Amino acid sequence: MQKYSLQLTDEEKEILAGKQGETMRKALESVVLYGQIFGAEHLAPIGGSVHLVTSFGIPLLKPVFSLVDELIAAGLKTAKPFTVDPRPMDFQNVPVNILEKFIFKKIMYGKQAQYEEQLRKVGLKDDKSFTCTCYMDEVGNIPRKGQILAWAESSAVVYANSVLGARTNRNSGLLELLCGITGRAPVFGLLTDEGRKADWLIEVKTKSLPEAQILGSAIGMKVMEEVPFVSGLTSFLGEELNQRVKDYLKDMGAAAASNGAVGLYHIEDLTPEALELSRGLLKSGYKTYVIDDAELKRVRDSYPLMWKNPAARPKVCFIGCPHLSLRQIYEWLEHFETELKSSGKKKLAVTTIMTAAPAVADAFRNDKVSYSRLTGIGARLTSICPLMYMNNPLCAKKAVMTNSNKLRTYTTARYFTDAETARIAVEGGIYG
Amino acid sequence: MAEKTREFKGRAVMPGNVSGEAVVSRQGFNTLASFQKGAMSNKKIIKCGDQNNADVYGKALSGKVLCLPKTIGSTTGGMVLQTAASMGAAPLAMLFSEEIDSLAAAGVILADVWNGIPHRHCRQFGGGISRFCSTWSEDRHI
Repeated sequence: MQKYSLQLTDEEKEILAGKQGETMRKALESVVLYGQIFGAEHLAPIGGSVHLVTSFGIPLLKPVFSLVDELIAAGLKTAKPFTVDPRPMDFQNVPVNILEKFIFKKIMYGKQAQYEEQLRKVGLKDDKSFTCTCYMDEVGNIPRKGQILAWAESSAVVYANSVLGARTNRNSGLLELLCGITGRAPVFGLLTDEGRKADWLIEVKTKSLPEAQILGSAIGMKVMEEVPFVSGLTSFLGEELNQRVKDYLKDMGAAAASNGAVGLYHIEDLTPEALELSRGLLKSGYKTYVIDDAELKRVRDSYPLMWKNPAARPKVCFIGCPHLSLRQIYEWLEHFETELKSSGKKKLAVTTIMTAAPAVADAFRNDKVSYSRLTGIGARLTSICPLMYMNNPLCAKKAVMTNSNKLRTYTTARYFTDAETARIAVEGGIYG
Repeated sequence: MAEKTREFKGRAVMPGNVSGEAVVSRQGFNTLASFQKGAMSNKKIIKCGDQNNADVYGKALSGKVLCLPKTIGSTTGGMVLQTAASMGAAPLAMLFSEEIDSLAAAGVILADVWNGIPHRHCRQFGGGISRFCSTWSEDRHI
């Protein structure tokens, strides 16, 4: 057996010697090598359910399919049922033309059905488990504070660490599944007390509550994968971690994770570890980044415009990357109705697609009056991943607008603030 | 132009010997944004599709020695690198001026353990490699 620098239990040594089969050996070897690169001293048992990032059956991902096939052939599955990122397609609620549908079904995600069958065999919770916000109450993959996890999906990782106080590294797709299969995660980085200390003090000195998506973007671009400790937000958000605040932090964190590689942030007087340790979380020699209104404008002005025709009228508007909470769906309905009323209009001018976890969308649909109001103004509610929709080269050529900085980062979608998004979706054009 | 050489010492994450042209990203390298478009098109030579990275946007990444501080962005990163490696379209080597990150490390491990691709070499340098490459020549050999 190869020598590893980690302290391994007798059972782990036996697995690595092949006593539980070649596939299990490879799974654990991957986890051990992963820890070894980062100086982990040992592996820890995973406490919660895994959350997977890979939810899409792109035929190109042959190495993924063959790896999962190996796991299935060996009879391996995760100890606890897992959740996974959103599905890429929903033709019932997301409009596509015949050609786009053909490309989605036959070319882009031609292996979707087979891949979902693979996921079921290795431990997928159920058919409603496709979301990037598995931590919503309606979905139920909610880790406890201090619980060791092995999650992927950058927006979920940063939320679990920061808002819930659980402990997971930013694991790559497949590595998180292998951790789930072996029931172990290497202890390094964000799993350690030292790794959760802050390298940066972020001083928010804006005149009003910053747009979560731009604040997160500014933080991510500055600190990259280091840990920021953010001060100055509670004067706007208050000191109660209620659903409104959680939603703000969800969106801020997703922007920080995609514009940089932030896996954990602390918000002074608000998030669990900041409440316990306050500025004691700051490492000695920490760096400082002051964010004022001018800095936020500078960051936003740096976003490239990827539309072929910058003056185009938007064709599609995506709201909900990461997926919306139930509260946010209601809030957007009110935004739109207020904007429509002031414009003297009855329907949105831009095809507007709101995305939420299947269980969250169901909860909203169960409120038949509100759902009828939403569909009545022309908005659509789905549970797809907007990023996967934009992967289709035909869709990528469209003038798509979004309030998501994550979607902007990975696609040709154009970013607008929440207020701008509501106005443009109603008016149909971009003015001023 | 006369070829200059300079020696850097770093930790070999996945050891090996390669030679190739350098492509330098002075900012965090977003793996998904960089490889997605090219990989989806099943191209043998993948050009960087990350609009936010002016250093490498539009430049070929396949078969090059990618010099970077670290990778950033989506946690599909490791899997994307593994897929690029299995397509024969990954960089020859990745030289990190900072600590290697968890996503890039996963890509190296997955390609090695599950696909038996031995020619992916990651080395981690204490610093200076990106500056050195970018202040000299974009297409120099390493």
